[in-house]
Amino acid sequence: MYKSITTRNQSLFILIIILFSISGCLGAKPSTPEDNALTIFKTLQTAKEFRHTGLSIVGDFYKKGLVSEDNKKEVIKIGNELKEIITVSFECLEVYIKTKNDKSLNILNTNLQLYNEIYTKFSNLIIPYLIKEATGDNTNG
Amino acid sequence: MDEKIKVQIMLASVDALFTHGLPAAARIINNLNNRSEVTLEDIEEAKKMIDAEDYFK
Repeated sequence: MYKSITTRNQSLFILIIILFSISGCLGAKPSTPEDNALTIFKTLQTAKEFRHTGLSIVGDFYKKGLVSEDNKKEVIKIGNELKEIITVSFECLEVYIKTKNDKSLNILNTNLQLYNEIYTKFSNLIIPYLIKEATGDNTNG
Repeated sequence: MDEKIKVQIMLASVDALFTHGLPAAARIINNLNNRSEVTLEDIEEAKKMIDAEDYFK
């Protein structure tokens, strides 16, 4: 009899584990195409605002004579590259929203990797100027 | 989407904007975070950007 109770308890224990596992799986919400699109849109829109804010600040420094011509050229070059890659990424996002398939998501992700490289270059150029703006540093650079 | 890239981008953007005290940009980001859907019209509008050289004129 004791053995029977133990076996029954073991079965019950296993059943509870299975039920918890199933409920855990049901609770894990997979990301939908709409979720993916919204996340990517927010990411690109954030980068667009960062580009605008950064270029505005560097432009103001330049007008005060605090940015060299070489630095200006570099900021313009990377700033325009960033504009292009953000635009292309938005276009890929449009295709993804229309098709909602893995192929368009993969193309979008590949594009976002290139975007990430350009965004990093742009950040490295711009952040020193943001720090200058924040600290009121008016030295040439 | 590659989570690593997503996190890197968001952290770099938001950190730079908030850390360096740019309240207007912070407000834009905050509004963005409250958004719950994206339409094709939103994307069309978002594609409008100024050329980099125009910030120096």
